[in-house]
Amino acid sequence: MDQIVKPYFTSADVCARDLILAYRLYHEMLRYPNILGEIRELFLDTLCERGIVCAESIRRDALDQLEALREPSDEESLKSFMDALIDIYFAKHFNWEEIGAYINLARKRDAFNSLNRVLSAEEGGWQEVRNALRDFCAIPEGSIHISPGESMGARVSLISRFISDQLPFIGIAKHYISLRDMNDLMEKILWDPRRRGSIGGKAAGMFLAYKIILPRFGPRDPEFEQYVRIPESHYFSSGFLTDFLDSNNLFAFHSQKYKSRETIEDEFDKIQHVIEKAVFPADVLSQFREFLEKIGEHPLIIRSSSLLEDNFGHTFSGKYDSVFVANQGETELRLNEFIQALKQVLTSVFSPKAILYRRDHNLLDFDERMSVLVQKVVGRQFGKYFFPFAAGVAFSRNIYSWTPRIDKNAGMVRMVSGLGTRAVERIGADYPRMIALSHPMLRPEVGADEIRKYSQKYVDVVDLEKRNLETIPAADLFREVNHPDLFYAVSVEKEGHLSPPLFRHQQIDTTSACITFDNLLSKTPIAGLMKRILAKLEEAYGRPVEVEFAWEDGKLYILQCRALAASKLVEGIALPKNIPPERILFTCGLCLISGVVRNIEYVAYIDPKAYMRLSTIEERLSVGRIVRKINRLLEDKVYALFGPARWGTGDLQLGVKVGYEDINRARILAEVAFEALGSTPEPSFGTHFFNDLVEADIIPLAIYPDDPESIFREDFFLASPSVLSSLSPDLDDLGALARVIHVPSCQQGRLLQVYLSGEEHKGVGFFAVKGEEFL
Amino acid sequence: MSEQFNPFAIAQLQIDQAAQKLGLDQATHELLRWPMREIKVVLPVRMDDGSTRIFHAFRIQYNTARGPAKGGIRWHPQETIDTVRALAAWMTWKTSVVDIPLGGGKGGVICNPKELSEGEKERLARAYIRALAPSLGVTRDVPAPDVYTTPQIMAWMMDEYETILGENHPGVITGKPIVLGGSKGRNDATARGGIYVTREAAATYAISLAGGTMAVQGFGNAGQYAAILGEQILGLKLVAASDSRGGVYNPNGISAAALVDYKQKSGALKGFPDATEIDNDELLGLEITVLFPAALENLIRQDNAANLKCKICCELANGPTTPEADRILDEKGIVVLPDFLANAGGVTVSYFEQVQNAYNLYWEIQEVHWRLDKKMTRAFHEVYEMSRSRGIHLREAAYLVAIARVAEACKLRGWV
Repeated sequence: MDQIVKPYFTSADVCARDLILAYRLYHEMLRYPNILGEIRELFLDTLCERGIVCAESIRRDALDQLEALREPSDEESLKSFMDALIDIYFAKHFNWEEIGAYINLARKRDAFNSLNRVLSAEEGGWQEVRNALRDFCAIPEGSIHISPGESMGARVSLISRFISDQLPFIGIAKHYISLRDMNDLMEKILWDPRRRGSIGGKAAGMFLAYKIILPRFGPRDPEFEQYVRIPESHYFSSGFLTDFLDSNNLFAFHSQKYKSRETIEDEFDKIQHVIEKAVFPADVLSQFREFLEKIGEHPLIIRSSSLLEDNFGHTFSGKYDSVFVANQGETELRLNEFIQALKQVLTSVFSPKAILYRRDHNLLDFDERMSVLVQKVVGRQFGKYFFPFAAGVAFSRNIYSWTPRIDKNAGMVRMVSGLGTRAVERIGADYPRMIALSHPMLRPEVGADEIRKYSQKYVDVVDLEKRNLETIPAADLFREVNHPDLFYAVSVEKEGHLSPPLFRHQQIDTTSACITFDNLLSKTPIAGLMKRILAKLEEAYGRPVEVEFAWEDGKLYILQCRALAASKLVEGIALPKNIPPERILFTCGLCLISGVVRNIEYVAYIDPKAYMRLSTIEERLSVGRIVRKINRLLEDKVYALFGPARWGTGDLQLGVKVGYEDINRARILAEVAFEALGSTPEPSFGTHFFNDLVEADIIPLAIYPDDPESIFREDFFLASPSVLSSLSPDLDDLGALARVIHVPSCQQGRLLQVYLSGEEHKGVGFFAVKGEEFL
Repeated sequence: MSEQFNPFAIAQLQIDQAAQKLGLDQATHELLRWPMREIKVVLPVRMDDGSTRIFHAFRIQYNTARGPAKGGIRWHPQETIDTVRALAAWMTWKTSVVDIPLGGGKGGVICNPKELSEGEKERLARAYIRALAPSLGVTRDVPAPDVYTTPQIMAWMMDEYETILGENHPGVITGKPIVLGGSKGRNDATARGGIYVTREAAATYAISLAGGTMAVQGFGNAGQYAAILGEQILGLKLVAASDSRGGVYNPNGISAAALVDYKQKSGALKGFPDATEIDNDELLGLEITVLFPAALENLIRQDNAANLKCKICCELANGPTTPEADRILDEKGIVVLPDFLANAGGVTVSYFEQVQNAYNLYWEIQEVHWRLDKKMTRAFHEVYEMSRSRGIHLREAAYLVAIARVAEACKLRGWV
């Protein structure tokens, strides 16, 4: 600033008014005597930056005045003259509001320096950091901020200490989470008195998502401000459950993951039993009690939030439990329920499905710890029931693009009435509303019968009297509960046609109502909001995202957000042409995703017809166990699994009940839907089960043998020799029900090749030797 | 395979056979073999994204000798002019067999309604009417809903027509919502018409219905009402029903209302309490009084027809019985109430809607039922009479009755 040689004015120009203003300013500064120097330094910097005056001019002016007064120009005198001049300059050029803002900034910088000091000290204690941050945030935010660049180091340090030390997470979070956000968050964290821990991936993801959508600094979208909310959330640090294991001498559980698959499965019951019997320390129980008293009688969801969970690329969809508690009645009753839920969440860390998932994704050596995110359930009470108007899961990419009109990048939503549990799992013959966000009103069904068939018929609610999650037929619920927003949820059948109610307070015949959400999608901003939210989150994360949400009383609640595996879904697959017809094993005409699996050596076939003939639940359950065994027998082979629609369903009438761990080694998971069996592979896109398949590179496909356009060589599956008994003699007597075919043995050395094209909506499986191509 | 199957060729073959039996002269025969008027239009429609898409559409006015053309408008991606021609021919015979003063027509738009938003559907519906308005009207041609078209689409079409003419013309379209001039009793009209002809057939062929049993294949609108009205009007006991996901069976009886309620709630019949599962072939083989095929084409084929043990087969669906199976059922002595008679209740109530619109006077439900009963009863007996006098089965008789009436109208007009 040396080029500014002539000051705007000199002390000779000072009038009485300037002196009064300077006096007032000085008085204000005196409220913070410890930082007078810092304040003046900031004033001087600002004066220089604005081109008003520079330090050198002030110095010369001060020297002139000392000389005029014939006073010695020692450093002390010079400084006091310079200070007075800085005050006068600043008071003259800035209004009272600006002066307050700059003094505030100086205070913040001072507190920020203290925070930085604590953070950079290697042995910096948790409490010191907490206090320093609290002190900083106690200073009003003001209109002038410490620049993002200046505070970046402190923010990164705080994020990695208390939220997540995953670098990809920090790399994004540091741009959106401010120091004050950190302070707000920490006010909501409950810490164990002995083991501190951190808040885990799911909690971190939710907090980050909210800050991306509604940042503290920077432009805020007015529509987001109006509609987007997060539920009241509290974070129980991972220290609680670590302390719980320590205080009950259950350290050994941490090594469970290194045991054999069989041992993990066999010992899981025992672990559940031991955790059930173990107790939390008394001081922790007091903390829980105090928390529950503070939060009151409102249903809660205890969500797992492990350190690994929601790590980018490894979503752990459904691997760890989330538990609803009714949280009603006496505190001790609520406390007991709360503890049971915490134990259930903790136990899920040691479950075979979670450990095997980690094993499959090379995450075993990570020291996994479990924290929990406790959220007030979003919803309203109607009599004994509590539930949100609608909930579900949304994806920033739409692979369920059943018509070329749908823009895959605009996202999709699976939405249900009531709790979102029905949207994230594959549940029986019940279907969520699938919404393509580029065209929210389009659906692949036309006609009342078809729409009814592919609609939601049961609603999940919290039953406050029974104190558990209940599933109620939608028709019964709507008859019992006079929901004021039913207008938005249903269409009604009139003259053989389903259409949404025309008026807000129209009398709705609940017996003919069918959940379509047509009015919600066409008369509220939900679809547009969701589309923009997903786009914003995907842009921030730099990869596709998944968001769990609820819609209640005209507000969109973000319940959870996670980044998905950077798209493993390939595009642009060219289907082989000119395949000799005798080489084709199957074709499918409704492929929505693309993929290629080459050189499949083994085919496992669960005969859908034989499965449907099984008359008892026990027999059908046993098929799930057989699939698990086959999966284990073929775990080091390239194998494809074919069976009845639908895999992974909870409804044994419809398909085989299997979990991720039972099929995780298959490369293809095919559903064979014979019309006569009434089976319909549903669009499962977006369920936890589907996410697992995508993450694990398992390609799902559906075959409709009765479609005249499609090929399905049932004879290959039923008549080729089965090697199952040679692989495992105890599986000898399964007859046609389960078969394992060694493909090259019965195809002259050829292997099964599967090509699927989501663009062409077609797929083909055929036999060819390695490297053989059909163009 | 499907590419060799031309529905219009089949329709023409049916006319040829009837013409021979009736001894129609060459000109009349030839006239009846072809649609009298075919209109093909191209519809530019503005899409939601601002682009314009061109849709191709048809309207076939097959024969208007007995009155204005009458028939639905189909919206289907695989629509072809030959399908529409064939369906327009069958509408001509259907209005004739129940003796309502209308001709036959059909319309089609090549489009996939699944891929259209509500706004796009509305613009397409209005574009169709704008293109065809000069050829439509209560005295020319009266469309109605059909595959993938709904009362809402009919309402838009009617509104567009009235906007063009600047006056009130509710009768230009039937199948409208009741508040816009739709008729009461349309919901169950198809099933109810089938029930009335079943009642008449049972009385005529001395088949006792009281305490009898019924099975319903296809549990959509027509099937559900057939089950309910079969109980209420015919006193039949429902013992089995099936839909696309499977069937249920209880020889002691299934409450039709409870089964409808169960299907509404669960979306399927499977799992209905106190009933065992049954597939379509098992259902067809049940020893029952009346079978209502109410969903699938070609359900009863050469390979399963011999298993049927019902006394009456009332075809509520279109084309549930193949010609080969028809012969087998006839030999077995099963009374087959042919589709275009058995399911003509729908078009009859459409006609009632047109009449009420013209009078601007609307009937109570009882009057609709009473008039439908009269029409269907009379139609059955005329067909039966033809069957008895010529010694042919009811399907053939129905064709002869219908085609003879149209031929007579053409003659009287001096066309041929």
